[in-house]
Amino acid sequence: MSERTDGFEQALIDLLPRLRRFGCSLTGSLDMADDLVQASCERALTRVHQWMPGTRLDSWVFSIMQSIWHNELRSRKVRRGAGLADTDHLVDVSAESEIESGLLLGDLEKVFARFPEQQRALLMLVTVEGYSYKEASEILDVPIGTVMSRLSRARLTLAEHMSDFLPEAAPGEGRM
Amino acid sequence: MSAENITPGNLNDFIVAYVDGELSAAEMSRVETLLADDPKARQLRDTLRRQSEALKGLHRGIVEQPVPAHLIAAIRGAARDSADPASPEHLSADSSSAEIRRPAAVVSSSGAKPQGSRTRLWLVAASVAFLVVGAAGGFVAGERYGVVPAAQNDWLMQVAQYHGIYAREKRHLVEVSADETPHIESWLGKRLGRTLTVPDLSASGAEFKGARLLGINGKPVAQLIYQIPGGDPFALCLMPSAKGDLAPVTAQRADLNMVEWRQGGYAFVVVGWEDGAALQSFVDPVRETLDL
Repeated sequence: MSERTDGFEQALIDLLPRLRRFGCSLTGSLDMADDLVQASCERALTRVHQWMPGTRLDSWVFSIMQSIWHNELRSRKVRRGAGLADTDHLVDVSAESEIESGLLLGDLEKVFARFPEQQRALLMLVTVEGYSYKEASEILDVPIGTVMSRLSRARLTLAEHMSDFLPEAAPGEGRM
Repeated sequence: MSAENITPGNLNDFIVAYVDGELSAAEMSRVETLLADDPKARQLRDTLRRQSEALKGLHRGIVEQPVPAHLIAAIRGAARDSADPASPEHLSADSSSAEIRRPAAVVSSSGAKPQGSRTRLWLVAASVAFLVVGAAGGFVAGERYGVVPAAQNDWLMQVAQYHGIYAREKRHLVEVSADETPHIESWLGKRLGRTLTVPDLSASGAEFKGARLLGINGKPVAQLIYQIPGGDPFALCLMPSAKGDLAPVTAQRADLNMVEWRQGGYAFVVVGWEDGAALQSFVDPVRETLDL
């Protein structure tokens, strides 16, 4: 094995927790996520020479995942009739973090699970992975205007749902 | 888009990008002017900010779980296949691959624990290879590939894998033996950035054997090894941790039991083949010595 493949392989293994999380957002299930992550890592290894040193490996693998999901695995899932509802086992949030944010993340995740997959993938890349709109548009291969409108729609919808389980902000509380 | 296109009527469409820091200076200042006259929009802005914080925890459970061994094995297998089209039979102990042969030798020389199936040996070989490569180049690789390391890698799993390897060593159980305890305390204390006194567990019948320095997720981990005469070695590991305090909780990784807690910027774990209650009995004397 060449030195390059060797370190590359380790870098992929270090990425696995985050790839699985992104896979869950895209596919809506941990089992499908693991299939997708495996297929994507294998693809990355066979195309290691297409990866440009100096660019982020994580972004490259995320874009491979999105492409494999979109072009290959997604249709298999639709054929199998797997639904997106089986996300309860994904909701694993510590009480600590709920108190910290003052929000019921478990409820947010349930609303999130009902979003179209492109919105879920975008929210994950931007709010969790911290990518800019431009980077997210490159990874998902959609125009930046589409990124803006999809994110805006998703987050305003979430905000409506949040008001169902958030204490109403006191009048005049909004400070500049 | 230009700032003039933002109006009281479509303000909401821009608030998300505003909260995400994606607007130009002119657009931001336009949004702020409109927000000043619109309490409902300000409320939405605050809600979206809290939402941003909440969403950071999305699917957090997944990154805290150990990665399934089959995924790691698949990456190793695919990498090997692309380098060497030999059959997968070579994944077992008599592997012709240099990378696998070395850790397999470690596995076969340990001998003390029950022998598993070929699959099990295969997974052990894969996880040992993971550690060997990880120790040699993992962090360097991470930097070279511009990867932000996962914030919450499962350190317990890695502690268990290390323990599974080293605790089966007879001559090389420790890196520095107990008769150099003052050196261990200053050496590992320096690496961890704190004072370190080796806890005395002789009242519980356990003898201090010595220590090792491990690296997990790029952080130094001190491993203090103890043994009750006639029993298997167990270890106390400690590493710096940015997480908040945590009262002792039991856990299990591979075939090992553990008790983990966090205090004052450090994470601690007692790991061994003893049952959880036996390990728990070491926690109080350890905490008396080490809690800051």
